[in-house]
Amino acid sequence: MNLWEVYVNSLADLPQDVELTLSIRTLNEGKYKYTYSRVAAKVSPDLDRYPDRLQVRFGRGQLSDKKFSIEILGEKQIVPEKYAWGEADIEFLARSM
Amino acid sequence: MPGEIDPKFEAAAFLRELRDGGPAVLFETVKGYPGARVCGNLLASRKRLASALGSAEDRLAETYLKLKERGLPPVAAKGEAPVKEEIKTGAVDLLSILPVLTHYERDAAPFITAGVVLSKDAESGRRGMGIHRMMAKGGNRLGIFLANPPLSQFYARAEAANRPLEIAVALGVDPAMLLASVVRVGPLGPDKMEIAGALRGEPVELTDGETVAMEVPARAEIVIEGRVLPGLREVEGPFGENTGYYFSNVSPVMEVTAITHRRDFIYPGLCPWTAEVDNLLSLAAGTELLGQLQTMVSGVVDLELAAGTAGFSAVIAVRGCSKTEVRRLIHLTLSLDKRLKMATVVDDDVNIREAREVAWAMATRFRPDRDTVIIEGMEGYVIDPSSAQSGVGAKIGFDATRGAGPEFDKIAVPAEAMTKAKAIAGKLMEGR
Repeated sequence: MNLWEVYVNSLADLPQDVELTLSIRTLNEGKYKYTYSRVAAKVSPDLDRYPDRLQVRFGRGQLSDKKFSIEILGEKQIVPEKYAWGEADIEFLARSM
Repeated sequence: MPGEIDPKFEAAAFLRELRDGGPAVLFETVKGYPGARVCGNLLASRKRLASALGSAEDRLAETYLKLKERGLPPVAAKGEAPVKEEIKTGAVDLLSILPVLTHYERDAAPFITAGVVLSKDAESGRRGMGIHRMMAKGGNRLGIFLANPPLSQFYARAEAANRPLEIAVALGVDPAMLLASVVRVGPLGPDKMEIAGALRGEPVELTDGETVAMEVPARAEIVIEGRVLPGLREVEGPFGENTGYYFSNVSPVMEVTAITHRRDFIYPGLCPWTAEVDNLLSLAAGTELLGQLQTMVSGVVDLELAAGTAGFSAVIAVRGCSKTEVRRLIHLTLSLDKRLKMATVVDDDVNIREAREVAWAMATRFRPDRDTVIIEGMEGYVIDPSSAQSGVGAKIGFDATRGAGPEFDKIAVPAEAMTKAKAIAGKLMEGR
């Protein structure tokens, strides 16, 4: 089971059992602890409903005492495709320098 | 430092404990990063800052102002640039390379705090640099807090044209460049790289970026290259700021395109709300303000930004200023620097770097009904929690200068006895 955390303005930002787009950070120990993923996910206050656990924090980092279960449905690309880094960029820069 | 240190909280906790005047430290074993080293607390002492600028401690502000005015343009690096000993481009995983520190308990992620962010204005070609906090989100993605010009303006112009803004983040630069990067210069002001050259006494050596069309410091320990994407914002923070509070923002996102570094690089740690930040702000922002005020009001002797206040509170020492001049000085001070929210003016018989002495002047020379200036409806500073909701703040000035009568003469021990006592007391205090 993975442990995740999300920052929200209020718990109303986490309606249960509907597909949400969330930026969540991993709390799993190691070098990548606290790194973020942009994901499609479903959450529920029923801790047994989905496979992973989700903690919630608010704007100044206050930890909510409400816990959720979460299912990650897939990653969401955040960087628009046209800005994805590629060979064309390197060639362009080589020409411009 | 002996033993292993964890970049998550432990290094920051150590830097917090060192306090003002504490030694510079080098962590040689960093958990999860074999071979990487982290340094910190380099500028947490005025004595070391003075040494870095080749100045006596009591002439630090004067030396800084004099050097800064000279300007020494950067030059192209001769031979191989040390920062190019290792080059990684493409899909760079930042946290697999750099031991970015996580500082405070509620911080949302590891944050880069001592990165000198370089960029160029697409319209004017003018170079800009400053320190901006950056949140390591994972992979090649960083959140960047762009609250201050010129980079905030460069980004606004690039975004208006729907173009990304190329930036380079130099880590592990010499103290002169770090100081120059936080100097406030207006839109027509000098290139901060020239100020850095003047402060260090020789030109900064630059080399071409790998994936960005700009020059980067050749002798930095690390350079991160990338671009801040237009039209994209994400939550950035919370982050334990120099105010002593957590602050989060919805900020632009940087995509990293390259990391270059020395083979045996040292990652610079800079823990917010510590003596090191106080010193950096005091010398760069405080001395800058002192220089401006000295050209406007005669009798301004010295200025210190109060420790721990993120530059929100200044104490100014004056000699021979009338009460009306002090009042004018307070208004000028509070208007010149938008961060400043509180200004206290004392006579130059008060040591403005000793909180006890400033409190003494306030307690004995200041009369609240007569000596307080309040300015309402001013712009609040974004990281100040007292004005965070509305963006509007107020400012206050205290005239704690003495009256004319002998009842305000400060008690003193004769100089000869003091000299003897200091010599003996100095030995007694050694090693304590």
